Amino acid sequence: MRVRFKSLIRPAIAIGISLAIGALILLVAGYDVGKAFLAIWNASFRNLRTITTTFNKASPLLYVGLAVAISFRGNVFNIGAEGQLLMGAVFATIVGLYLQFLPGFLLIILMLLAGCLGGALWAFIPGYLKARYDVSEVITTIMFNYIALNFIGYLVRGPIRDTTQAEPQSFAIARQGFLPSLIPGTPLHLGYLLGILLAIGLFYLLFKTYIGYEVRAVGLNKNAANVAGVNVRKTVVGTMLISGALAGLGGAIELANIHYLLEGISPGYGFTGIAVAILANSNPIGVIFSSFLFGFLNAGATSMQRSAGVSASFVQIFQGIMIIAIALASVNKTKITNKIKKTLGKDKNITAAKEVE
Amino acid sequence: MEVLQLTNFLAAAVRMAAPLLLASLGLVISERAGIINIGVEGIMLMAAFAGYAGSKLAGGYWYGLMVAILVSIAIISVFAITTIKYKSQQVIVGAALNMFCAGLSSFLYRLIFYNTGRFDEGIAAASFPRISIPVLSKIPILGPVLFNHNVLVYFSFVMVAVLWIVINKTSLGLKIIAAGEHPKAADSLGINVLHVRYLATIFSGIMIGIAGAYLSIAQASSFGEGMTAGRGFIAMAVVILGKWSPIGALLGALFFGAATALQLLFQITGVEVPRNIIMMIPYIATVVAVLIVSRNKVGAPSALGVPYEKS
Repeated sequence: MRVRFKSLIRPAIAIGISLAIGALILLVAGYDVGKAFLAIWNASFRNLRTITTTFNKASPLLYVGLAVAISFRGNVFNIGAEGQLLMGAVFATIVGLYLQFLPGFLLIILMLLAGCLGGALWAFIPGYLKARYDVSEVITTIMFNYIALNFIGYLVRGPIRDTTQAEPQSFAIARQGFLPSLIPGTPLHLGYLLGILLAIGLFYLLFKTYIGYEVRAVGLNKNAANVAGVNVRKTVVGTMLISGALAGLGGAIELANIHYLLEGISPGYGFTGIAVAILANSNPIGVIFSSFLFGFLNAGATSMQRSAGVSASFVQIFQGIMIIAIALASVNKTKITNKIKKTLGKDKNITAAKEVE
Repeated sequence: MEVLQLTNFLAAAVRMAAPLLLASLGLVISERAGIINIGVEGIMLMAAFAGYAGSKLAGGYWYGLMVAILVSIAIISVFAITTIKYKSQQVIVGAALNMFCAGLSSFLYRLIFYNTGRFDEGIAAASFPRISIPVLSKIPILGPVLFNHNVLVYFSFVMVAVLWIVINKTSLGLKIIAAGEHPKAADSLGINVLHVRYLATIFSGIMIGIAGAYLSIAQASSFGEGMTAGRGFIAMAVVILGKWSPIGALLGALFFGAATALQLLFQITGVEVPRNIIMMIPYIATVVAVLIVSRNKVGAPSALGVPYEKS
């Protein structure tokens, strides 16, 4: 229990430091800091409606947070959760538009599966290129973000554009494909609950199964994992597939939540997902809480803009500072080495292999 | 008419290539020293804003350029200290800087220029004028393509040569390469690896700053939120495509410049391809280019992205 408590200290310090720097920036810029922070707080914690809205905003972040977390555990830098989320939304849109005759539950399930497929596909290519040809996944996943965004731009301006709308957007999906609310009349939807369950499942997968062991082993030390008999290439591709499917699922759920496709469907969720995962130390259970924190900030950003005049982009500044603060706080080399030993060290061959290296 | 179109296309390609070249020349040096910095996208964006703000508020593009360089150095110093001294993950700090800079540039732009109604006298800031080089610019085709640009374009050409000499002919170049290839051996030869890496990173900051300023006050005369649109990332691809050499970077940047100018060509000639599809070209080209290069198995610096720790 003491260990668990200790692991909370670093994120807490990082949040504190970023809050302080954020407040300082607002102060220098001549804003009313108290008013701005109060606006953020009120945006979420005023009543049942606002709190459920925050859960709604946290939902895509929960999924991309999990997606980035598992990739980081496998030492794959998936900067492409954004694009994978977008492709998930695209695939779900297609299902929601063209399979209108299906009954509700079946349509929703198919949309979500299509979302997983879209995201996984979009992650598979960079994953395969990395595993097979050693192409940096950082560059390819970033490029795939732009390609996905332009693909949506093409779709909503051309083939599936709802011409009755002024702004480019798709037709709405079939009505029975809308996500049902958990609490009737509030924006808290079924997708959020599914995300929580997935987080728990992913925790189990990562820390209690052989697949998770493989992912973490490759993440900690490729060569040692190879010696221990892990198929590194397969694991890298597999990690990307799971990561992409999670992000794509998040996109499908967001799509079923807002009902139509548009270019701005993600205001950078995939990038916020990096902050979410890092704050949670890439622990799926931690992601539940860190995604809520960022959902809370995103919900507050708009209201802060309205009532205190602070540009909503302030949240991005805050995210950036927070990641750097955590990155600085979690530098500890001996700990990593110990972790490698703990995960792999029981096998004498590996220790030997490490020494040879 | 055909010749004129070709000339315009090539000239546009050079104009589009220049910011990529400036940034990638900086990255060639820092990556050769073992530093991978995906924050280049954000830093370039912030420099674009700083260049605009400097030019607009101080009333001159040289001021703008100076401010852009200073801001870029300030931000990249944060990157350098966290990754070189404290050995944080370079990709993660870079991603964080991208968010920070995207946020900060929008935040400041709105704060300084939007809210105060400073646009009374127009949005446009003073920007680098085009300077035709006497005699040379009169050469058919080659003249307008190469010798009819603003001074930053010429500067980028000159830097290709300068950096080629630094890398291949000087002891400083050797130190940089050693720091990126085999930091331990470099250290045992008395090279201060960390100092070299700091220097290389700060230098890349200067180049990225100039690249950012190019976007806002040379190619354009205004700032737009997110105006880099992935150019920083593409500059990283240019480095890979150019096999970590300045001359390679020049060729790589021209390739991507042409890919971008192709968009313009399509748009001007009115070929019926949806805009979004055309806009994908540079990004798809990047993936293909990176794939081709990596299949040829030319090595990145061995210690690229690996923090160096004295043992």
